[in-house]
Amino acid sequence: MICFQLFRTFFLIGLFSFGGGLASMELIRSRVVTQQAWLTDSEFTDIISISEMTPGPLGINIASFVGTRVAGVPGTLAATIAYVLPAMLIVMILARIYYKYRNLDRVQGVLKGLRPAVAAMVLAAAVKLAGNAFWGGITSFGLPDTNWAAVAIAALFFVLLQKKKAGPVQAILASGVLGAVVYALEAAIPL
Amino acid sequence: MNRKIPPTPAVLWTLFKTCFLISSCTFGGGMVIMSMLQKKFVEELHWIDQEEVMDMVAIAQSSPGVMAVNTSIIIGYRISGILGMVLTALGTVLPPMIILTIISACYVQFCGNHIIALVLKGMQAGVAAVMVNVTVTMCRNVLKDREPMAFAMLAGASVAAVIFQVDIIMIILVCGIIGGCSKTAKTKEDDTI
Repeated sequence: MICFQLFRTFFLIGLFSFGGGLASMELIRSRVVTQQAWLTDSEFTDIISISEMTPGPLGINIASFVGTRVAGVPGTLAATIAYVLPAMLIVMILARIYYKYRNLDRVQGVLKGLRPAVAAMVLAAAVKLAGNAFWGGITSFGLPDTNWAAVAIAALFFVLLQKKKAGPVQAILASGVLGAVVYALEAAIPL
Repeated sequence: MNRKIPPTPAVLWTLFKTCFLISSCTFGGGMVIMSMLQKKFVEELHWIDQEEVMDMVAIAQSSPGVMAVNTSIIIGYRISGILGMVLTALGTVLPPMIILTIISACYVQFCGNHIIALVLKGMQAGVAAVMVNVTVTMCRNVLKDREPMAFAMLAGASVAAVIFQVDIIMIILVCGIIGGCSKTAKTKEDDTI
């Protein structure tokens, strides 16, 4: 039963994941964290970090991780296969159309319309992830609770990503090391 | 599909092995995997030609799901039909699946380690920075043509997602339909919203 639920959830996620790994984060979060409560918000952020450090696409990593946590190896198989299946079917159909007509204009039109939606999705994910990192969740929003160390680290790496074109993997790894040092110092020297 | 390669066991094994190896040692996004697949199948094996690869990328990007998986699926399909497709998909998916299954099984012990917990906490800020960065890049990309339509859709979709907590799937469907319609009725483009 739980495997069927994993299958259904990840089939839907696979079907509507447009725009690559980070773009579909909000979709995955809305199903896996908000709807099914299979993971907590901070677990979800951890998985993004872990996924960036391990090889393979982000979406597959998350499907495998969630599947295993919820229902062991059968869960892994159900979630991962369900996630890839819609793409397989759609790619096959598009490939047939392509080899028959060599024309994908119509598809490109719909895709262009999807771009604002994808951007909005990423924005929503960014708001929630930042809220989680800075205030431990957007609900406990309040200036005194702000984790200023996290804000400073995020601001630093945002600048590096924008201006220096640093890679996301390097940025996440470096922020982990820097964050660990800062938090360890914070614990050692109580202010 | 005029230039089909016979699906001999050797060809099928090459398809699976190539995807498996590329997937197990590629960190980072789809475009990285894409360029490695291109190197192998176009430059080394000459199974696909260069122009076709560009169209394959377009198809992979047009389909939902993971870009890297989609690209390997279409290469497999092109070379050996449905069997090839299943094998390349399997080859691409297996390595991350195995690795993440192991990590998932040890997650609780993994996070129980004090230092790892601190590193993961630090990374939350890094992930936030990466996401904000992607947001800025994507919004800039949507707005670069200065189309009022794209701006209205971006603003509407953002407000719906962040403030009204509208389901993402609804937003995607609505935007996709608007995009499809404005493609057919270009003159009516501005009063669709």
